[in-house]
Amino acid sequence: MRDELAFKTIAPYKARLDSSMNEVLCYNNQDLKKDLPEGTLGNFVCDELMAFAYKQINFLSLTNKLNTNLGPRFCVYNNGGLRVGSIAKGNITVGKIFELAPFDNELVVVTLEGKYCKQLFDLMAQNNGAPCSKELRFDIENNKAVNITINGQPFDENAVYNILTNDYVASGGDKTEPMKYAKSITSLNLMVREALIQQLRNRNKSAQPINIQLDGRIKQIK
Amino acid sequence: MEELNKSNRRDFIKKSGILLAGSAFMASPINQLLAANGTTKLTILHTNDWHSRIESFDKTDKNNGGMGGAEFRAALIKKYRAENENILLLDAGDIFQGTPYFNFYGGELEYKLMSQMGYDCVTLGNHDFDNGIDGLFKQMPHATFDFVNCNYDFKDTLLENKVLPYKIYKKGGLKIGVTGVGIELKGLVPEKLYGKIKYNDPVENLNKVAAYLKQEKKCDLVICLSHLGYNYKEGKIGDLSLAPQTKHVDLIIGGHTHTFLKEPTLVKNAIGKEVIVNQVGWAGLALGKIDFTFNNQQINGFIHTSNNVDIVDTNI
Repeated sequence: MRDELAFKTIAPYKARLDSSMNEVLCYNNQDLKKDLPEGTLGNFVCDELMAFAYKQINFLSLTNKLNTNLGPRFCVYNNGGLRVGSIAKGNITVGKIFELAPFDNELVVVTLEGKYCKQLFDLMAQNNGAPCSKELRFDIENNKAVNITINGQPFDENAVYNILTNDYVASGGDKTEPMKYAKSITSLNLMVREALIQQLRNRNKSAQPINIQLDGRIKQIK
Repeated sequence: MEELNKSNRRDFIKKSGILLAGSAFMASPINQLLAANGTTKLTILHTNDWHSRIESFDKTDKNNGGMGGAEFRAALIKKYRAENENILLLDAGDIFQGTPYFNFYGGELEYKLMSQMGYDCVTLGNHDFDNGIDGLFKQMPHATFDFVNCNYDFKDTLLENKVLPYKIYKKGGLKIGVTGVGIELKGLVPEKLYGKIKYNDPVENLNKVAAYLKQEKKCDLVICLSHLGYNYKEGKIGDLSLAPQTKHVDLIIGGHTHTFLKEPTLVKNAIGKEVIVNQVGWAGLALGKIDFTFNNQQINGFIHTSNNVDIVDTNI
């Protein structure tokens, strides 16, 4: 037995919510799967966030809300932060993105010295990889990150890198302790979920379907 | 997080324990007790951590399919109101966060529904700050119930004077004092969300308020709504370590750890009296029910029933 008053109170909220959740963002041409050391779902999230961040940072600097050069070199994410195991081929709805990223984590840029980046990569290697964007590539050898490149260039331990991630990872959560040594953490004032929704909506407008490949960005060798 | 599977919970309804505090009453039939002269019955209904679970869990959900749902809880509460004169309806916090209803409406619907169900009093959980102090403050006009907490200092925040250290309710000639304790927010909630709220020692503050309610205000029953969590191994304060340090609290209604207790835990307090500690999981899957009998304003005994909130099971 249900209570009619409660049912009637909920109904208009539910109707609005359902219509928002059912909005189709874009078409996805393959099953995306969570996997390690590399999975199509992790690649999807990190690559889309990178694409989005560039637009967002440009926007924020044009409107004088962000005046430093924060262009991220690559994105890392926590595998545990991917809250669904897969996204099936077909239309991606807003509801699906809410399932994928239900927490209100913000998109941030972490500025981290190379030596701590190396610690981070080694930690990722120890854990059989973690989701990252296509700009970052390394091999895992004996639980260490080797042959590291950033956008095709060898990784420089003496350089300082801007890393795109969520604020949970930036705080050192989920086996990312070296993040605690960040020189700075800058919020893009937007939730990860909202960034993904906007990015996929734009993709649809420009008729660019999702086409994610496994490209060996992180792999075990030997 | 602890979850009871469906069959366990069903099973529990059948076996729902009858606990009488005080061995002298163990042998007395309950109805005899209730009918006795000078007795008053008081029913405490309670929830915790309902986490914006407005709708029942989807039927395909592995653990909780078809369970919960505000419209079914509301019906159950109405049924109890028809059967019981003196009811206090309470919640131990984390009303917010967990479904897109919260992301979209910020808790407005949660508070509206709880007001319709006639909630009397709630305390604050860490997730109730997920949209910041402003976000919580903004929803308060939708709530007709009181907010209590005695160990957060809200000075110079929007919540000052909105969250009270205690509230006294009068039911059937009884005075019931309700207060609340909250968990340390640092490290659990981003600082920018809880702002200037200061966390103070729950034991010390609860004892102060409880003594005041019992001794000065002459409350017949003192209830603490706690969002500390049930129990911890590593020395962190939880309900089971809080209770033995109190003197004037009769009932602790807990939350935070999403613990499904089959029956309340009885803990001896600092002066050897029993404190009842209860918690009913999360997500509005169950509604706690504790029926007290008072004899000449003294607690005589209580009966506990935990009730599933369920689409199919309506005859509980």
